Formats: sequence, structure tokens, C-alpha cells
Amino acid sequence: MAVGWTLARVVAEGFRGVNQAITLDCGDHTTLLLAPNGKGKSSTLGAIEWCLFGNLKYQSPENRTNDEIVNMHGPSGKARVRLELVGDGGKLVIERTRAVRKRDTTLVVTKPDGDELQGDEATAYLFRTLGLTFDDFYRAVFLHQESVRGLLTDEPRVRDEALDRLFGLEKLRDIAAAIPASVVRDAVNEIQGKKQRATDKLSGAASVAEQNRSRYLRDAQETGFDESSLNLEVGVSIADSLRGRLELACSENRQDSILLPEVKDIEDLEKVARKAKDTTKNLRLAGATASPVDKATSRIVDLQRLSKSLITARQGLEEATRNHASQRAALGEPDAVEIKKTDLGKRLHALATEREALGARSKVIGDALTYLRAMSTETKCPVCEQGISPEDVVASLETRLEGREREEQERISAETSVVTTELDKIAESEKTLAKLEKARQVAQDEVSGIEAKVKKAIPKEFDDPLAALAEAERSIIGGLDALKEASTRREQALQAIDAEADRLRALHKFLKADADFANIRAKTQAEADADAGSALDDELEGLLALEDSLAVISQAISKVARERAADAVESSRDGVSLYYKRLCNHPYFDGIRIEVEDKSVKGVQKNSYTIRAFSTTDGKDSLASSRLSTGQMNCVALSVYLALRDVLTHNLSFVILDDPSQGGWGQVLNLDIAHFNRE
Amino acid sequence: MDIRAIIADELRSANGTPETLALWDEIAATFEDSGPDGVKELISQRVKDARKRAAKEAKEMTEVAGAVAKPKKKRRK
Repeated sequence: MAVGWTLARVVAEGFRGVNQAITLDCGDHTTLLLAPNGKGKSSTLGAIEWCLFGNLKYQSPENRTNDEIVNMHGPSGKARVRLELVGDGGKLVIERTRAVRKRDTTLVVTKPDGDELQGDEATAYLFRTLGLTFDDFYRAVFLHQESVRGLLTDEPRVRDEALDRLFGLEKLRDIAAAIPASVVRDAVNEIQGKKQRATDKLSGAASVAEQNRSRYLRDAQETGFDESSLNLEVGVSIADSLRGRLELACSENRQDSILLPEVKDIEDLEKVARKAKDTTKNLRLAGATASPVDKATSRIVDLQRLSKSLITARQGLEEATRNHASQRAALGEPDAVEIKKTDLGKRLHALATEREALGARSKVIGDALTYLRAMSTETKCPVCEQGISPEDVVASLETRLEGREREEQERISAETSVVTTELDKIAESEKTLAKLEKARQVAQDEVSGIEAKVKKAIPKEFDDPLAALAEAERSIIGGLDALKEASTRREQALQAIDAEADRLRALHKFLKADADFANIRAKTQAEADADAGSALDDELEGLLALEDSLAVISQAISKVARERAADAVESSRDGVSLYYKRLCNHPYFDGIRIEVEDKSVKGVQKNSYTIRAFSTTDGKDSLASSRLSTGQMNCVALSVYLALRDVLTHNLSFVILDDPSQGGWGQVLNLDIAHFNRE
Repeated sequence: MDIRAIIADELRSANGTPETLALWDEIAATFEDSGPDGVKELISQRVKDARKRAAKEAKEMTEVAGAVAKPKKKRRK
């Protein structure tokens, strides 16, 4: 065992079961702590462990925050442990504190030369100086009451690890366990998968790129290119040509000139083509709203419409005039009509007078008849006094009177009817004549209105509007051809620009497809070229080399560990037997031995240990764990622990045993205390 | 026991490559300095760096492949 640091003093305060500060000065050899249960023995030993590593092996996780570390009744409200270790180089002071309800601890290490280290720096220094991990400490230095039987009763893996550590192979085992071989393998698999997927994509894309290139080459050739002229310089030249043509087109169409972008790379070709196409589109739209041809055509239509309207209106006027004249002729001249109307009126008046007179006479006769009827007793005429018969006279008078009266009345009525009809006819004819006159006037107004429009449409003197309209139309039609020709020329210029823009687009598409194809071909070739070595292959090779190296290192570690374990078993054999005999004093199995063999765990060779009890009398042996009682098992564990710890390699030269017999001090006291003493 | 030297001798006797010896040297130094977690971190970081570079390269390849679009079908006039 390496000579290192021994424990000189422990100062604990507010730590677990320790309330007030206690100081434990360790002797040069063995220090025994004897006290009843609950008096702080384990807390004092735990303080050493906590001070060195900031952790407790058997503290349950749920107590690690609001914890059992700090004594709740401690005066300072914090746990503080100070260790003084003494070695050849001087004194090493380690002090760790932790406030209640705090997770973090404060570690201060004062080196032998007086330098003070804190935090991670202090932790790293402790690891280098003490030469063991927290787990190693538990296997090699601190035999906890909970783990005293671990060497025999734990699962084989744990027992193997424990024995490895007892044989001083803990670093090798720790290193081997720390090498994450599966991480490397996983990464290799992942990168291989990525490479495969990316290569597949690249391969598919290369095929598409080649198709694109062929297609766009065909398209470009259809627009007049030959393959040798498909380059950016030609594109620049076409763009310059487009620039000039567009400037001219804008000028001819009275539009502001357009600024085309400069061609510096392939993408600029598409920008120029798009801008040119947009410009021709806008020029066409502007031309569509102000086309001279359209204007002339529209004017011709207007003139033709006016002409037609005038002809129609004139025909209407002629007809109205004709109708009016015809009606007038049928009615007669106005004077004659007036005379006739006067005469008829007079006659009608006379007839009315006659009808009135006839009515008066009829009344007198009626009255006389009434009288005669009333005086029917008269026998003489009151006038001539001749004898009369009143009834006869009345009957005769009534007959004569009715006949004459009726005739007169019929005559007057018939004549009145004739006169009235005649007057009605005249009135009706006059009314019709008035209507016709009005219609004629309307037709005349329409003709006048259209003629006014013609005058407005043809701003020059003329006698015949229709002739003027025809002349104007002829004049416009004569100029229309020239306008159409100009429009055709303009459209041809725009189409030429579009065609150049299309060529530019075709060139752009080909150059882009060509660049894509070249790019992807270069990438594909780089991936396929094993000699050149792609980046992915480099990474894969690097990881595979790392994996190989790690495997070789793991094998070397396993081999060395196996050899060292065999040596340790051999060298500690006597010591184990000696401790076992003294501690256990078994009546039959009075000897104990450790056997080591290879075991493959997930492809890595590891040491596998078996502890067997045997009888020195007849040589029979058995697995210790299957033959011995619990107390005897404790003795076996302690024997192995005490004998094999001599082969440990670390820098702590002390051992802590926390109640190894679990209350059975009688068994421990069988052991000569002198065996614990340091030499 | 000088673990570092013992394993190095073993690697040499097993014809370990210079890279393997260098890696062991680095692992042993890291373990001495930072313990098992340091060794895990050392290897994991190497792997992580390699994966990162590989992912970048694979992404570049995918992007190059993705930049090539399938041609659109021509519209029939």
C-alpha cells in the first residue's frame, strides 16, 4: 500500500447528529469510538466522508436538498467539518461547510505550502492528491456497516467491482467503465445512415439535374442558341441589346425609360428578362388606352352613326310634313273651316230656338187639354159657344197634337244631330291636325339637333351635312391604314423585345441547370472518390479509428487487470487465511481462498471472482456464501477486506470501520487490535 | 502502480498505433485530472464534434440535392 495521508484530527459542528463542535484527535495507531446507540459515532465517521467528497453513500436522494446533513439545532445554522491530514509533505487541511436548506457546499483546501484552493479547483486537487474516487473510498477506506457484507452477498457484478478495487485495480476499472464505446458505435451508425441518405438524395438529384440540363439546352436551342454560345457573356450582350430596344420603345410610346439591372451573375439574367417582359406588358396596356387606330376607328363609327341618325330624322320629318299636309287638305283651309263652323253653329242655335218654341206651344196645348178635362161638364165652347162634347174634343185634340208634335220633334232632332256630327268631325280633324303639327315640329327639332352635332363633329363650313359626314369619313379611313401600319410596327418591336427576353430566360434556365448539374456532379464525384476522401468518410474513418483505439485500450486494461488480480490473489492468500482463522474460528472450514477468472461482459473481458471456504484437514471446499452463517460471513468479509486492502493503491493511509460486526463486538474483539495498527 | 505507464507498455507490446497510444495518454491524463466523468466527456466531445461536422456535411449534400428542382411541365397552348 502506498504511504500517504493519515488522519490527524476531525472537527465537526452542526453535522447530522453532532450539535456543538467536537474535536477528535486520532492517535498514531488505532482509534476506537465506543458509545451507546444514537450518540453520534456514525455521524462522526460520516463527517470524514462528507468533508472529503461532499456526499454520503447511504443518504437517500429525497434528503439531499432539505437534508439530514445540517443539524437543525446547531447554533450556527450550518454544517462544518474540518479534517487535518498529515503526510510526508506536511499538513493538508480540508474544510467543507453547508448552510441549512442549501444544496451547494463550500470546500476550502489548504495545501501543505499554505496555498488555499476553493470550489472545483479544490475538488480536482483532492482527487489528484488522494488518488481515489468517492466509490473507491467506500471500497478501500471506509468499510461502512451497510456494506460490510457486500463483498459476499451483493450481486456478482458488484462483488467483482469491489474486489477489483481491493486489488488496486479500481482506476483501471473506472477508466474502462468510463470509456463510452457505445457512444462511438452509435455515432458511427448514425453517420453511416446520414451518409447513405444524403448519397441517395444526391444521386437522385444528379439524375434530375442532368434531365434539367438536357431539357433547358433543348429549349435554348429552340430559341436560336447553339450550345457553344450559352454563357454569361452572351447573356450580358443580350441584356445590353434589350436595354437599347426598351429605351427606344419607351420613347416611341411616350413612356418613361426603364432601368434594367446590370448583369453580374446568372440570376441577373432572369431579373433583366422579367423586367423587360413587365415593361412590354405595361407599354401594351398604355397603348391599348390611347391607340390612334382605335381613336380613328371610334371616330368613323361616330360619324357613321351621326349620318344614319340624320337620314332617319329627315325621313321622319318628311313623313310628318306629308301627314300634316294631307290632314290639312282633308279639313280645308282655315278660313273656310271657320265659316263652316260658324254656319253650323248658327243652324244649331236656330234649331234649339225652334225646339224651345215647339215646347212652349206644346205646353199651352197641354194646359188646354188639362183644362178641358177638368171642365168636362161644359157643353158649349167658351169661344164659339157651340155645343160640344168635351171628351170628343179632348180625344180629337190629343190625336192631332201628338202627330204634329212628333213630326216636328223628329225633324228638329234629326237636323240637330246632323249639325252636331258635322261640328264634331271638324273638331276631331282639328285635333288630329294639331297633333300632326306637333309631330312635325318634333321631327324638325331632331333634325336640327343632329345637324348641330354634325357641325360640332365637323368644325368647318358645309352646306350638306350628309355630304360633309361622308367626306370626313372618307378622310379618316384614308389615314387609318397608316395608323394601323404604325401600330403593327410598334407591336412588332415589343414582340421582338419579348422574344429577346424569352431567349434571355432560356439562357438563364440553361446556365442555372448547367451550374446545378456541375455542382452536384462535383459533389457526387467527391463522395464517390474514395481516394480524395469526402468529409463524411473522414469523420467515419476518424470515429472508426477512435472505436478501434478504444477497443484496444479496453483490451489492454482488461489484460492488465486480470494479471494484476491474479498476482494480488496470490500475494494476499496468506493474509486472508490468517484474518479468517482469527476472526471466524470455524470448526471445519478453517481456510478461505479467492479464485479469479475471465468473464466477457458485452464484449469486454472483465475479472470475475469466487470466494471459497475450505477445510485444511481434508481439502474439501465450498462457496463461502452458501455454507457459512451470517456472523461467519461477516468474518469472511472482514478478513478479505483487511487482507486485500494491503494491495490498494491510493494515498490515504487509514481505514475506517463502522460497526463491522453489527453489534457483535465480541467477534471483533477476538481480533488482536494490534493488527489494525499502522506500522 | 503507475497505471499510465503499465497500460502504455501493454499497448506497445500489442503493437498499438501511435494514435492509440496518444489516446490512452490523453485518457489517463484526463482521468487523473477530472476522474471518470472527465474521460466520458473527453470521448463524448470528440464524438460530438465528429457528429456535428458530419451533420454539416450531410446537410450540405442534402442542400445541393435539394437545390435541383424538377422541371415544370410545359403548358400546352
